[in-house]
Amino acid sequence: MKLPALVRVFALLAVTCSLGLVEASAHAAAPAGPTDDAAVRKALEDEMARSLTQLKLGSEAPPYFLRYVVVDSDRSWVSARLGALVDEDLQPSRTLHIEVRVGSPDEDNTNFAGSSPGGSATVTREDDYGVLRRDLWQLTDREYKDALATLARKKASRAVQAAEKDKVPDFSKAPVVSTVTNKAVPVADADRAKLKELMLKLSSIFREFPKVDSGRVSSVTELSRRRLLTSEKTWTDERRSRVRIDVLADTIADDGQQLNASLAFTASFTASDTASLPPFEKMAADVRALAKNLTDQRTAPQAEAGVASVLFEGQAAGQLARLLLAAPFSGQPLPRSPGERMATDGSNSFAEKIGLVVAPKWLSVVDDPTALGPNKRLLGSGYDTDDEGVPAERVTLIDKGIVKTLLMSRAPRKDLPKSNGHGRGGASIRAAATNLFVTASGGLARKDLLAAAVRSAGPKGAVYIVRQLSEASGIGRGQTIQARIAVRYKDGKEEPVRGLSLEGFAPKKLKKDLVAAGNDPFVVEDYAQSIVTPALLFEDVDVGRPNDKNRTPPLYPSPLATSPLATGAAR
Amino acid sequence: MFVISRSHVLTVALATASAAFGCSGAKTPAGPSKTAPAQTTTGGGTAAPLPVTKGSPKVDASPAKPPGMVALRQELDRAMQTLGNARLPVHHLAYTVTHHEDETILAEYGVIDGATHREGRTIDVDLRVGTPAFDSHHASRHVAPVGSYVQALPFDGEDGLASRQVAWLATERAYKDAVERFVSLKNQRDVKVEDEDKSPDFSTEKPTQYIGDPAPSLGLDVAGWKKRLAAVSAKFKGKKAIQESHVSLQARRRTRWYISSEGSEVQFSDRSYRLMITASTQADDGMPLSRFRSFEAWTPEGLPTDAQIGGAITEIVDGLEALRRAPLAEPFTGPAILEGRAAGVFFHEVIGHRLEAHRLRSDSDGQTFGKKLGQPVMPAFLSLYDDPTLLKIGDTELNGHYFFDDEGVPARRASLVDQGVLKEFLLSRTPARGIVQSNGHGRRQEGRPLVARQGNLVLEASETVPVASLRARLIEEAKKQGRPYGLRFVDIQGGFTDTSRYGTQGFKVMPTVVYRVYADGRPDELIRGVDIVGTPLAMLMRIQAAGDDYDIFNGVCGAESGWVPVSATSPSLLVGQIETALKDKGNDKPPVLEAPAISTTVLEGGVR
Repeated sequence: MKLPALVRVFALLAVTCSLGLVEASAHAAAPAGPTDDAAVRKALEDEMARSLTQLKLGSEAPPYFLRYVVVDSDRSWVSARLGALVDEDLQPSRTLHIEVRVGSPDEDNTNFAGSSPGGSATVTREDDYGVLRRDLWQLTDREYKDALATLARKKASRAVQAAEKDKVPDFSKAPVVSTVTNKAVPVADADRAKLKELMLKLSSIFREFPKVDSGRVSSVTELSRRRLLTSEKTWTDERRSRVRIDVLADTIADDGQQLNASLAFTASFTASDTASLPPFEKMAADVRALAKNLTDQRTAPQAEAGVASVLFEGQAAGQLARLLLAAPFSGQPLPRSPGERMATDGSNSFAEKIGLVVAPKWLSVVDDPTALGPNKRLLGSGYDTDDEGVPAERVTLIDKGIVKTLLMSRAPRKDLPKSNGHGRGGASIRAAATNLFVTASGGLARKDLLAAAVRSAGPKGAVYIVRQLSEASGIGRGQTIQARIAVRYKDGKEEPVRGLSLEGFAPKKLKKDLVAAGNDPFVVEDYAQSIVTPALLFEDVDVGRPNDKNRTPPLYPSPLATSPLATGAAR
Repeated sequence: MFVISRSHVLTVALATASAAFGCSGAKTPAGPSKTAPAQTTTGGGTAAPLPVTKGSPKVDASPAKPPGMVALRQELDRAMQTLGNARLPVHHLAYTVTHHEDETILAEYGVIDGATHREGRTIDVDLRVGTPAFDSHHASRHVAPVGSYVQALPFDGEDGLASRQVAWLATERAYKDAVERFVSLKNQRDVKVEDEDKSPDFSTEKPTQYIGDPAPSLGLDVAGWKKRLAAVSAKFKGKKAIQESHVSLQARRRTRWYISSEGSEVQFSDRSYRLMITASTQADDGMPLSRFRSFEAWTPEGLPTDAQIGGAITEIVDGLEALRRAPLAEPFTGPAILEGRAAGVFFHEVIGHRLEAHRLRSDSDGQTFGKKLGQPVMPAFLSLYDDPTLLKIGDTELNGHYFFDDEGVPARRASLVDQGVLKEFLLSRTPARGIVQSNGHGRRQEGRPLVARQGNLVLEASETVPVASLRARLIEEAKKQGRPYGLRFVDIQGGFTDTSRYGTQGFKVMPTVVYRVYADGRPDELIRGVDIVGTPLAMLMRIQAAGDDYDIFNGVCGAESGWVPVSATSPSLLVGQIETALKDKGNDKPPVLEAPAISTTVLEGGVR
């Protein structure tokens, strides 16, 4: 199936397939058709060879570079609330990503505002040589024409711009590799059945918490295989698997504050296979803690505006490190265009700071896509070769507070002419962090960290401990760090607070206000990135005024609060 | 045409609700048109009645009320105890639960391109604050339209607690939004001119209690159909000019509950099966060309045989080949024949959408027929009605059939135009122009706000001419108007209509098969790249004659309340003057390289 067709077919599918707000599903999809690895590789090779020699529009040259990627995914999903199934699904899929470069490595159709060097399409999962070639043919043709048009625009734009001071090529050389890796643990039907049972059991815990308005639990298993072929003859075939459980709860405080937006809770357990998940008792305890925390938050006081010392620990430390230490190290050059300027979302912040001090000298940061996590755990986001087929390298980003290098794809920079295996994406590639390890020499034990926090706050300053951030947090222009779970630490005790909003966070705050770190690493994982970091203590943090424009609380109580059927409702 | 795929599109769609409606549909599975006995009169004979089959709900249907419905009734009553007595009270609360199961199989070139099986439940909450005379649903261009309140509903156990929690949350949110809207509306009413239409905002209807059977299982041999679809889709192999092709099957069963604060408790269900064939190509000048054919059925047994599918594929391939070679149309004004199915779509777009009563309540809508009640709007030999209780015409099952609408109101025939005179509108429980009762046309796709929609639209002619004579009359009319040719529209894939005052208030229907019929006797000539455009009032009065045939368009229609199945039936029509415009041609070059060859060998079992 090609993309234009997809749009049209969906218009027609809408007849009998609900395309409404919510699509719930309760049965597994049919398995994929017959498999024939050789047919897939041969289709990629043959259509690529034909395109490189014959794909030529008028007087234009054929592509000088092609990258074909086939990603197979077997993804299953189950979600439940209050012990009842909401939906489940098992969906095999295959996606093609194609990158087409015309021109030359010195100047091609990439690295220009508004351009994308390739396209993607969902195609049949059957390993049919002829049909796959047909799909490749259509997508390559479309992207080739698009590439020619982009290069023409880029040349036209350059013709009216002043000559660049430092001419940097658009595409770097990379070694030719051929690798096959398999780190996947297949998910059996029995595993999925167990996960479903687990979702029902975990979600039924919320029956014990009538003041939690909504508690949802979902699990995702994914077995993925990525095959990649470039016109330079690089071939990689890599398989991975992962399992993840998410718990999301929300409620409304007694004063009407929408805690579903600002104080919802997430707990995640990620593993490479179902057997690596934490034991049920541990997960159940965490869900209960989450629900209790949310219940307590309903009546917690609002955070007060002012200046404070803030300790980010657990998940919040990872979330903050992602904002301050992962995105800023992308070495992706900004697209050339008349309006070129720095990114406003905090990415690329360290692009011009190689060799400069940006953090305390006890802080070091490394990104290593091939590394294991604490306790030798496989991290879900890792890989052996990146999405451009370049072998992943361990990269020291900050050594003793000094920026050493950036994360690079095959889009070079003046002083960083080569990829270090951090090109991520499908058709379009961007340099990004994968497994980011933040380490602190001389990290403190928790009680010492708290003592340091109290000291740095001074006798009149507040100390907050933040354990989870809202997804709405950001360090871009006009954004703030918003806490979902936070407590005020006072006189050796923790008191829940609501609406904690922290202002002025930017990478430069690392150097100025990061005063200490813990000695116990925590792992935060999502699908593309894992962050391993100890707790981080910042001083001189501006605490903003909480938003108090709330709707009225519910006019009548949750049915959970009135039903004798809810287990433990009387607690 | 709206293509609705994600939730956040909803508000946008609502904001432009009256702007455009799209429909897509297909030939009837029964194939060629059915011809009623010819009548012989000079200008036109008295027409034979259409062979319609009406239905009525089973009266002995009395399955037990489902436990989930009982739980939600308790939750609804609990909500009304508080919200019904609030300072700004709820006067109407309804829960619509849709349990659906969908099977979709998509095949191309001998392989399965995708297959999904989905089953789920949703709840839509409809809540009105105020009084039936003036409530939070009142139409106003100054206040954002009412949103939809839909949630995934769990598959509950006995206590129904998870579903009740979902309903509670959605009701709470709907109430607060409704209060906000109601207060805004009241403030607007104080500072704006009085509404022209003083009809109440909500009709009073007798509550309906009917527990019909839940939908039976889909009964589809999925593995068998995969093999069949893969095999028939392989027929496109080797057709070099075809750029894309698919054969797909969609099967859906749906059981819907409707419970309301007035005491309505309704369970009804349906099943539908749709086999579709799509193919596209590109003319040498870059114009994209596509053909589409579908077969509709209510049971798996009603789906077409492989031979019928194969025949349709051949027809599509040949049709696209012919279209690629066909000359490009020119803008045209002159006489035309709309053959039965094309005429059905034409009426659906040109008049059907404009008779949906809620549009007459919106002061941003063109309200084409708002003040035409009792006035002639088309020639006196034509009558138009919409009757969802019709099961079949001839042997063809009608897509727009239902017994209860989505507000629980029993469906009834709406006699829209009688002998050329406008008599009625399509009504949900939103009254218009003094008509204060619903005629059972409130429809919705789950997750969309309900409005009045068409079901089975039927155009009947009291006087007809032999259909074969229409061509001669077309030539005669072309000569009279000094045109070298007239046009014959054989098939239409769908269309748009724009009823907004800010827009053109015109329509566009998109024919797929159009011929020039030359006045000088040359053979008819297929042309490409033409759309019919115009405004409705002028066009309708130019209908000169109806044939003694009829044909049925079975399809789906998309508008504010989502996609709903519809049918449109009409005789062939001779129109004195229509206007056509050129389609967008596109400027993409055809592919540089030829398509790689696909092996045309088909193994037993069909998959390669």
